[in-house]
Amino acid sequence: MDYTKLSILEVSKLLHDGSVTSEELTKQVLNNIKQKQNLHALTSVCEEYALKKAREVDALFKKGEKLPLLAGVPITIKDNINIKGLKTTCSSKFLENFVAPYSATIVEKLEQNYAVIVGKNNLDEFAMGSSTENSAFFTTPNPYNLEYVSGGSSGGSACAVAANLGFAGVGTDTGGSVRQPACLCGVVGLKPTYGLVSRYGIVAFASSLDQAGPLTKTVKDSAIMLNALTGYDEKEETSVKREKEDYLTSFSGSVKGIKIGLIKEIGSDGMDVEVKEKLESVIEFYKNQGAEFVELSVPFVNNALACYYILSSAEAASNLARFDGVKYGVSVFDAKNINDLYLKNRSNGFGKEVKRRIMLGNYVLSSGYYDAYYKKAKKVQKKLVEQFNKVFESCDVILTPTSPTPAFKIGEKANNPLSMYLSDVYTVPVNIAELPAISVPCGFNKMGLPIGFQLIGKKFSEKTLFNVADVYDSKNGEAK
Amino acid sequence: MITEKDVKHIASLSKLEFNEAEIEGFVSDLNNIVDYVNTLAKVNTDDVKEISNLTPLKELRKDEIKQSLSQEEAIMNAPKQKDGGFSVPKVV
Amino acid sequence: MKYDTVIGLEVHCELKTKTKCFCGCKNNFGDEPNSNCCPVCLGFPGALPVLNKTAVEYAIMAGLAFNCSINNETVFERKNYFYPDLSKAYQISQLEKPLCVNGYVEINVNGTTKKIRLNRIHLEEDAGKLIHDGMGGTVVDYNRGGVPLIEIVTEPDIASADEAIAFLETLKNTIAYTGISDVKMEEGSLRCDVNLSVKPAGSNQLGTRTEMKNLNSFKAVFRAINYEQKRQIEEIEDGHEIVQETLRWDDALGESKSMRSKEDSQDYRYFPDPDLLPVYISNEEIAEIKSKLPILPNELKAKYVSYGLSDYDAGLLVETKNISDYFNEVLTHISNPKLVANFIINETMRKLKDDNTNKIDAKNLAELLLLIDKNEISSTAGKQVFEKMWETGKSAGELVEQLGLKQLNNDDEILKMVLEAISNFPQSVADYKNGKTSAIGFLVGQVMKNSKGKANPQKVSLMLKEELEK
Repeated sequence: MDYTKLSILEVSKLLHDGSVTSEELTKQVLNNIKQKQNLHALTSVCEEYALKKAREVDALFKKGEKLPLLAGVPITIKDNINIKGLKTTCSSKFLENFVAPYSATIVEKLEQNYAVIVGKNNLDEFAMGSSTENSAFFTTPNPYNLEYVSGGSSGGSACAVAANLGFAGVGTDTGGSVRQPACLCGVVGLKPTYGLVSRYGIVAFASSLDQAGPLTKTVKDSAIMLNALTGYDEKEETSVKREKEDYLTSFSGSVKGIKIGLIKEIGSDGMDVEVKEKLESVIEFYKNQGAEFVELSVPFVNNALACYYILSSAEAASNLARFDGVKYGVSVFDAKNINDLYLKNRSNGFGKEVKRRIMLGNYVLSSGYYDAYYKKAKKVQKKLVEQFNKVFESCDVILTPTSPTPAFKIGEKANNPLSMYLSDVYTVPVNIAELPAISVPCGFNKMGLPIGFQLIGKKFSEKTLFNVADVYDSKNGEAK
Repeated sequence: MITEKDVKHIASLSKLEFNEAEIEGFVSDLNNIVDYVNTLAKVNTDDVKEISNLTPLKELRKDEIKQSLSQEEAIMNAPKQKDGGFSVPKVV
Repeated sequence: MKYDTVIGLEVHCELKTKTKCFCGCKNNFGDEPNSNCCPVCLGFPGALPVLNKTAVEYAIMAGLAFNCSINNETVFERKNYFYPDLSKAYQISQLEKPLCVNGYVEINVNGTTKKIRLNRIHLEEDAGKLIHDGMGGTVVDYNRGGVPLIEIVTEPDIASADEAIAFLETLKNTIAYTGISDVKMEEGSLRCDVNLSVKPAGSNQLGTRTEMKNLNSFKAVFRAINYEQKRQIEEIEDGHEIVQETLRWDDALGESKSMRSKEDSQDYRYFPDPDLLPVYISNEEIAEIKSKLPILPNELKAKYVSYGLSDYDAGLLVETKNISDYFNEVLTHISNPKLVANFIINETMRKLKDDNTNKIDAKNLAELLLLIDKNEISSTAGKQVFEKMWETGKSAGELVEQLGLKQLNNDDEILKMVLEAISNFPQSVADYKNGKTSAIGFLVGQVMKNSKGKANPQKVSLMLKEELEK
């Protein structure tokens, strides 16, 4: 039987009752990966590492040990997250040979939950992009149509889950990089509240916006993953100290009386007609389930994108300065002097988009411009946080599309950076406001490409998000 | 208006080198992006408090020694190493 | 034409915390390269900084010791630049909201006191070390990378090399008293950059200043200031303008060379570090730190004066913490502050001029001084024993026995010798009785000679007087 099509919840039952072993499961997944190499969803596969873990878990199951839900379940990890002893390439030439000397805190947590990591997912280089076309190695196409993109930057993670190359993926979301590819590939993608999931060991892009998040087939699976990923980390100052919640208790099955907000400033400009239609059907669905809809005003929501490009580029320019080829990374050996070494290593090692962000970032931070750009963007951010806090006084969650369009063709936006950036227009305000949000699949367009909707919650309201999302997902999605 | 001179200066701060065509490309790309982000200038942020989300002194990390990497682990990814250290071209 | 020299100093001082400023690696000098490093201080991808509480407390202590105001809210910024000793290509430092602002250091130069104002004291991390490998290359050791530093910036109140040295010595000594740093310039835990300009005497307009780096000793600072002052004046007199530049001091050659030209002016692109939260320090916490501050030189000096020491002697004892620590320790074994002070100032400090280490520990010195205090040996004998103790490391008791220096205190025996002297030298006796009081000196001398110097001179003197008055 092909177990790889199942959800985590389903396959976990079978593992726990002995119907299948982790080794068998892992071998099936590894086989899928081999069969679907043309998807380029993975930059590396760690077969030995995975089978070793799978066998360990099987031995524990046999002993009758009580194991967590994730035990024995094969998953994949975005290749900007460190796993000790394995390569972390960030899909960049610069790090193509870098072997991580330590593991990210979230990897330690997943391993404590006995998850079986089978490989690292392809991404836009250093997580900068919305299509995974910026990977230095290969693009990850859409599993539903190979001529289209899988979204980005966690395109590899989303594609892997959709193509059954693992039961979940862990991605990172800075401006939509978990939610948008999840949407384009027809899977569930969650960006937790900033500070809820540890950033330690995740290669930093924009420190004040990055959050790791799970990509799964169902909303309930997302809750299982979040349970494993959360927890205060003393190795990170921005990690939030709060009691761990059990997200599996989120599901009441009802949205009666739930207030869902619609932001009036989010117009339909640039929104694909079919995306708009699908959104309206989602609204109908929730109305029929007893939810109330309210109109809200978040005046600065359309300034979020500009804010994002300033803040994320500035922080990225600084975060990526450490890549100099001295401590690690690919380096030339014929540099005339240290300055020459830096110039050559960085120019050879980074791709076009990464260089673009570094240049923009250093421009906005440079002398004479810091006040007008970075400092100003920080102030706009604070106002946006205030405005969202205010609207959450009148609603429980906010509904928007995840992406203005379904997947676009590979190469279509590659030469127009600004148009690429605009695909983040609904997801970016969430990162800027440090809020949680989940993308849920809600059908396909005429071409068979997935469409998704986004639910945004107030800080630390993941339980509410899961509940509302699951009511739709369990009745319409994979898990029905 | 970002000029070629500006681009060259930023490239030098970024430790990136470009050919003439790339520099021209950046002049246009950066100007487009900056025009877009300039929309923030019109946004009213007069009442924003500067410093927020402070951590109290007493909650900071205690001064207790934690395990370091071994010298080997520290330099294992170095493209060029020597005598337990990272080798670079001579610096004054 | 007379010129005023205007000097501002930037002093960096390594804090003696157990761990680095932003990670739990050991803060230690002299270990194998890159053996006290972790992903954070090595700048590995994905690593994050976490601030050290003790580093903040030590920086506050420095601020309190120098009369600064401590900010209740403080922020850390990234200072971005490329250099191989900087693993992240940015240094975590402070700009807009440093820990301490204002303050002053009181210096004393040739009897005149002067207040050198401080602009700020802030906390930042140190960079690694560059080692030249002898074959035309450089090797980087990041052990020092991430060690906490305080940067102390003065206002341009210093007017000469003498004042600069007085400032540095007072600063170094006061910091030594706080215990927050080893302040060893030779180990790099204390570093100094000099900003210097000259202007026509009395003019209100400041000249263009240069910055001098690589000053590795107080002597180098002294020489460099005098050199640069002279160079700038010569340039001006020759009709040239002073170029604003950073100069590297070469102490062996006694000259400075330009490090960076004007065109390469660094744009550090400071912005608040998004990985670090701003810190809130309450006034109660500041007061608590103040109460735990060890006693500082001024207070200690006042204490010594209250013991009965002269202002001058008290000042000498507090000048170096090692000496006052020693003084304090000796006093735990013998309660005669004047005697102890006397010996330390005149004997110990004299020997230390030529010898770096104090060869006599507190307990042993106390033993010697107790012997003098109880009149078991004379003060002169004591000095002799001291010399021998320094040379041989033997104890006072041992040496007194060995050298037979025990003072004769026995009244009967002294009386015997006194009577002998009186009978042997009737002329002196007669002189004394006739009003020449100084004649007793000769008789004292004779008794001392007779006793081979062992008789207690005070007793001899007293007894002679008594007998002569009879």
